[in-house]
Parts: sequence; structure tokens; C-alpha cells
Amino acid sequence: MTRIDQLLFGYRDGHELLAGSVAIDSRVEPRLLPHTDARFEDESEHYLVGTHIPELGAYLLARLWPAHEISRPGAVWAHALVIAADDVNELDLPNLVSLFRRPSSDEFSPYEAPLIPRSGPRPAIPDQLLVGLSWARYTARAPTAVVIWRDVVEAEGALLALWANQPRPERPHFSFRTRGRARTGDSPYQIQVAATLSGRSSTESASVLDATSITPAEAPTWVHLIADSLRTPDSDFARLIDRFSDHARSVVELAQLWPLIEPTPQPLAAAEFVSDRFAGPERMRELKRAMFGPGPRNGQEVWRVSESDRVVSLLSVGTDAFLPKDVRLEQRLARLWHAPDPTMVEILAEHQALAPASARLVVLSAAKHLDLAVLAQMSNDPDLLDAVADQRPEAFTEPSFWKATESGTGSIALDWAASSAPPRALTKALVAAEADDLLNRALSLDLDPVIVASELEKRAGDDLSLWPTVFAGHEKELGKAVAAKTRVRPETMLLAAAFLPPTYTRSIGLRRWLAPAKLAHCRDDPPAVVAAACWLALAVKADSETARKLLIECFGPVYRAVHANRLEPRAKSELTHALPAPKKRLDERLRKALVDSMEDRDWSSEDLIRALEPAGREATRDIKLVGKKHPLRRTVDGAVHALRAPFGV
Amino acid sequence: MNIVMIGPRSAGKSSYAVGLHSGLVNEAFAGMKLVDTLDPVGYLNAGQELLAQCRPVARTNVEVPDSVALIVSASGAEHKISIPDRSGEVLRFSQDLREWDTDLAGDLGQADGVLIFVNPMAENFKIGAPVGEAGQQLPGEDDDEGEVPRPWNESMTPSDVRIVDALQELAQLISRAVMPVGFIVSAFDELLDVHATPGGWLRSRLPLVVDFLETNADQFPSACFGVSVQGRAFAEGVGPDDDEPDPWDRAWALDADGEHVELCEPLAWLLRQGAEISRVA
Repeated sequence: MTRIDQLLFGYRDGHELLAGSVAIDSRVEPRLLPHTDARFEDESEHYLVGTHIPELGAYLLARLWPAHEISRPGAVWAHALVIAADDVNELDLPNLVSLFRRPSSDEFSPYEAPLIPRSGPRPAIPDQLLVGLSWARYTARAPTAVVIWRDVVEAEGALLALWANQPRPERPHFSFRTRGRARTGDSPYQIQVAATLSGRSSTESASVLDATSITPAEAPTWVHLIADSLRTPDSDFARLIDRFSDHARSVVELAQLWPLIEPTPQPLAAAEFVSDRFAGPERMRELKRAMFGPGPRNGQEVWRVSESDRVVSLLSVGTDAFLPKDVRLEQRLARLWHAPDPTMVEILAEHQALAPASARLVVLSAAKHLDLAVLAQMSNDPDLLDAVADQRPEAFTEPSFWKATESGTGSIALDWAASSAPPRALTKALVAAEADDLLNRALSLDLDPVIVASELEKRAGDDLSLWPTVFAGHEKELGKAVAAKTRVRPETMLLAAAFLPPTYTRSIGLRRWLAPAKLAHCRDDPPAVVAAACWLALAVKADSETARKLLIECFGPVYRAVHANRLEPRAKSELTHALPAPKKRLDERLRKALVDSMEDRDWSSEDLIRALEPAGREATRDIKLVGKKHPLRRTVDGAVHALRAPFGV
Repeated sequence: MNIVMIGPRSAGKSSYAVGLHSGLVNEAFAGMKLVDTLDPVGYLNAGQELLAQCRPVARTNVEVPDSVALIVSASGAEHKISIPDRSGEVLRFSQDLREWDTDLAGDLGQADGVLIFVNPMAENFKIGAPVGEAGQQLPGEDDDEGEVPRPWNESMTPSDVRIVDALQELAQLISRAVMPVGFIVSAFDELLDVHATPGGWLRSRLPLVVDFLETNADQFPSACFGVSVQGRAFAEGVGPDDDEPDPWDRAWALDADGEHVELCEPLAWLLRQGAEISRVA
């Protein structure tokens, strides 16, 4: 429990210390006398003095009374409380007046023991006086101030409230006094309340305010706010002052800030204010952290403002006035991208309006953390794309990204993706996203057409429906790439052969087509048939073992398709131009080509069986390749027989 | 001209300032006229009101020193005079603690003249015991040899010792080679029955002071005055008579030889001394 020492001063051998609960060094006593002596020039019952005594290392709060009962005219009593500096910020200061006792006799023993503070009712304080004191105290026109108020006893409560309102670092050193008549010269007291003003002084160092004559409209809003906080020390604003003020000037600044906090928070304006007035990162650090720091709990200490509003405000004004560890913008931005509130996305869309540092932060954070679908929709932003390419290039390899892009934005994003993402991964993503237009554009950006074709084949199988769109204008590159690369999947080559114009197919050596031809051998899907027809056409015109092998692989599926009347126009065209015996039916021409090859080259029964097998059961049954006396008759019959046997024909 | 009034509490400093101002304002002095008042005179007016009511002038409080700042015409010239009126506690603590009060030291450092006040009727006026007498005794237990003597403390210092001590300290503080000292014996109306002249009283009661001033006459030219601002002793609770003179008419002063002079004469003497010093310089 806090105990407060006390001293009693009065007239004995001059005005001196008479009694006390604490010993005072004789050298210190003269320092106390000026604060415990007074001339009573009005009808006031008592005066009040409060000041720090450096020699005591403590605060002196004293009440003075005229000692009319003492024979020496002008004698006074003074009952002083000696308050340890640490206790000034802990005690209920206005209630200390309840401890004062005027001596009523020569018995001074009641003043020789420490006192225990107690609570009690506070007297009402006139609003006009509170306004006057607030205005005088916090207007830095002079180092000291004099406030005129007729009833200086009434002013005691106001002064104590003002003292309790001082910033905590300054409270133990705040000095004040009431008196009947004040001068405007030098004074050891920061503020005096006097009933009247004395004449002029040799030095005019105090500002003077007559509280009796001010009107409410005269005083600025911040003065009224401070006065309200004196009247209601439990108010939110009073608590704000108590917690965050560090200097008299800061009380004014907090009062000017308060309308931006209550009744309606204005986070952007408040951020501008604190950045401007409390420019240094250490200045009012606790307040800035409480208002704009991370986490809803911190924010709610001073005001109720959403996390996104606080972050947006910081981004808008910049964070030069804040310590990075107090605001932790990067971490907070990372979380906000996933909040239901679309504010951050809107900020991202307008990031050029932010200060460069904030804009950079927003863009980088969005690149790292924003949902891919949202990122894709905003991918017409070069700054954002730069950041994605730098921070999160894997975004470009996600199909969901390309699925979410619109045609215009995707095209722009592709420029960045092509230079930063692994080609195959990018291609895969585009294929998976079925972004055929983008694939076509990607080919213009030197994406490998073979990889594109390969991925298309993997995904869509023998479906060539996307190929015309994807490779529109890039057939030549595809043809060249297929020709140049030694390792192309046979499946891909088959489709390429089916898709590419004949000129490209013809430019590739027959040997390259053998592997895909073997795939086409046992397939009857249109791309396989078309490819087989193209290769057969090539083989018929060539005279080589490779051509013979191609013929072996391609005859069956082509013949089957012709027999079933399922030959694609392109395939028919290729065959029509290449096959012998132009006046015969196509199937007859095919048979002629086969026989011609058998006559020119060395065909085994197995070769013929392989060639005929895919032709189909009916075709095998009806096929008549040579006459009875033809030298190959035997070979042909043997092969046909072998083909029919499984069917019991 | 900066004049410093020093003296213990109740020595009559403030009373003299009130009487001086009252006389000037009411044109009671033939040899000195008030030209202008420069400092607030509220406390001087209040003091005059008390004297008018046959009540003593109130003590000077320690907190805010009063001050008399005037422009007067005397000896055919105008003089700007500043007289700080500090409480006697300030001098007492300065002497007891052997450390001049900063403000008082500042006043003395700039002083052109000093008025030293003593009030033989005040409680704190002490004369040193004649050689051969026992020291002051405390009421206490008797031992076999008599009462227990009280230990010495600063408050026991005789007044002449204090005054000489102050003058010696003053010699260290002042920047001037010559400092005129006016010695004022207050409440001299109470002494008239015993001492006819202030000079005689001084030589009788404060011989140490006389010795010092005579020895150091070159540095401290001096003059002695007996003054009664009240004119007579006031009885507590008794107001003025119906035909009571005005305070400025009640007050009187005597020079060292007992000749009546105007209350302003100590000040006038200092002004003349100042002029002479300036002329010689």
C-alpha cells in the first residue's frame, strides 16, 4: 500500500519547516520554502502548489492557508505531501486533496507519520475553466501560462485533473500553482491560476488567458476534446492520452487525431495523420502499432477497423513512419489475399496509384500468394507478370491458371510464361487447359511444336480436332521440327503425318515413318488411315526396301478403309495420285501396287500375311491379287489361306 | 541605481519600502519627488492600507520577492532606482548554510548601494553576551554543577556578528571598489527613551559593526539612520485614532546625530554617494 510522506510549514523563526514524517536535509529546506509560502491577496481560503523538487527527487503537493491566528502578519501554514516520482503515475492525483489538514493548534504530531491515500468524491469543475486550462496548457506560445479565474479554490480540482491528464513521462515534473495575483514574468510553474493579474513585469514570459471571458466557439475542437478528457478521465480519449502521450505536444496531436478515430474511424486519414505528425518510426510507436499493427486484437484496442482497411491505409500512405516489425505488411498481405473481402484485389488492380514501395510490395505479395484463378484474371498487368515470372514461375505451369485467363490477358501472360516457365511444363499446362488459341500463340513464341504435338497426342489421343487451331500458321515449323528431331514419339509422328500437308510428309525420309507406320498397321481410326494412305502413297513412288516395308505396314488399314468406303478425302487424294492403273477402281489399284511390289521385291509369305491381315476378314476372303498361273500365286494362296484358317473359311 | 535591502526577518525592510513609496506618492518629501513607478505597487499599496489601519506591514513571503522600481528626482537629477525586497529568511538561510541564495547574490553583485536593517525590538535581534557572563542556559535537568547548557546553533549568532559576516561576504560578491552602506535602525521610536541618537545606539549595541565599517570606510562608506515607519508602536486590535495622521506623515527618520531628516534620506544619501563615486571614477 502506498504511503505518502508529509511536511508542515509555518511561521516560527521566520517561515520554516515545523514537522514532518521524513527528515529533510537543512540544505534542502530553503528550496522548499518558496513553494510553501504565499501572500494571500484575495479572500481565498487556501492555495494549491504542485512541483517537482529535484533535491528531494520527489514531487511536492501542498496546500497553503493564511495563518491569521499567528501574530506575525502574512504568516501562512502549508501542509505538503511528498510523493515519490514513481508514485505520481500510479496515484489517483485529484483525490490527494482529501489528505490535506490545516493545523488547528500547536500540536504537530499528526504530521509526523506517513499518510495513506484514500478515495473520495471529486468536486464538480466548471467546463469553462477546463477549456481555459486545456487551452493555456497546451498552446505552446510561452514556457509558462497564467489562467485568470476568480475562484482559485474552485480551480484546484481543475488543476489536479490537468495534472493527471499530463503525459506520463511529464507528469512527475508538471508544476502548477494557484494564487490571488499573478505576474507575467518568469515563474517556476508551468501554469498558474490566479484571481487577477498583477501589473507588468520586467520580463513578459508568460502567456495569459482569461478563462472567465472565453466562449466555447473560440476554442479549437482539440481544446474541447482535452477538456472533456479532464472532466471524464475514464473516457476512451482520456485513456488514449494516458496510454500513448509522451509529451505535451503529443496530447494536442492526439486530440487532433481523435476525430479520425471516433465516432467514425477514417483509417486512411488517420494513417496520413500519424505518418505526417509522428514521422519518425520510434515516435508514438505504441500508438501506431496499436492502430495499424497486425491482428484484429491489436487494432481493437484503439478502434474497430478491419485488417484490410488498416493494411490498405498503410499501403496508401507508405510505411516510412513505422517500424517494419510493427506492421509486418508482407505477412499480413499474404493472409489477406485469401480473405473473402475483395479489397486487396481492388488495390492490386490500382497499385499504380500507390507509392512505389507499396506498389512493389503489393505486386510481389500478390504474385506469391494470390489464388491462381484471380492471378490469371489480372494477368494483363506487366508488373504483376514480372513478379510472377520472378517469384512464382510455376504458376504458368498450372492448367488452372490458363483456364482462368481471358483471351486478352492470357495472351499477355504467355509472353512472360514463355520466357520463364519450362517449355514442356508450360505446354502441358496449356494443353491441359485446352487453350488452343494460346498454344497457337505460344508456337509464335518459339515453343517447340513437337512438344506441343506430343502433349496434344498424350492428352487427346487420335483426336486431331484441336490440331488445326493449334498449328494454324505453324505447319511448316511442325514439319521442320518433326523432320529435325530424332526422337519423336511414333504416336506423335502418326498424327503429324495425318495432319501435315503432303509437302511436309514428303520432306521427311521414309525411314522416319516406319515406326509410326507400324502403329497405323493395326489401327483403323481416321488419323491412322490417313497417315497410312500418305505413307503408302510415298512408298508406292519409291523403290526401296524401306518403301516395301512401309507398304507392308500400310496396305492393310488402307485397303480396309477403301473396302468399307471410309477413306478420308485427303487419303483418297494421296492414293489417287500415287497408285498405278489410274483407270481402275481404287481397291484394284491398291492390289496392283501390292503385286507390283511383290514382283519387284522379295516378299515372303509372312510379309504378305502382315500386309493383308489388317485388310479385314471379308477383304481377305475376296481379295484376288494374281491369276492362277502367276508366279506369285502360290505365295498369295498360302498367305490368304493362312489368314482365313482362323475363321474356318 | 540598484539598491539592495538586507536584514533578518522583521527588520523593517518592507515597512521602509512601504513608507518610502507612500511618502513619494503623497509628495511628503521635499528632497525627493516621484517621477514614475516601474514595478507593480500592489503590495506597497496594501502595506500603506495596513499602516493606515495602525496594523503592521505584512511579512515578505519567500516565494515571490517584492520589488520597488521607481524613477525619482533628487539633488537636481533623475534617478532610476530598483530595490528588491526579499524575505529575511533568504539571508538567514544564506548565512546558516554558508551559501548565498542565488537570486540574492545576483542582486548584491549588481548593487550600487546597500541598506542594512536591524530591528532591536524583533525576537531575532541578539546581542552577544558580555565577557565573563555565562552562556545561555536551557531549562533541563540540573546536574551537580547547575543547568545543562544548550548546544550552540546558528540561531544563537549575535546580530552584529551576522551583520559583519554579511558585509564580509558582500565584499566577495560585489564588483565595485566602493559600496556605500546605509545602516537603518528600525522602530527607533521604541528606543528614544534610552538612546538619543542612532549613531549612539549603534556604537553601544553593535560595536563590532562600527569597528568594521570604520576600518573599511574606504570600501564601505556608511551612514546610520534611525527610522520609524509606523511612527509609534501599534496595539493589536486597536485601530487609528480619530485624528491619526496619515501614514506618510507619521513616519520619521533621524540621522546618526539624532537630527530629524526625511524618511527618504537614507535613499537620498545613497544617491549622493553614488554620484560622488561616479564623479571620482
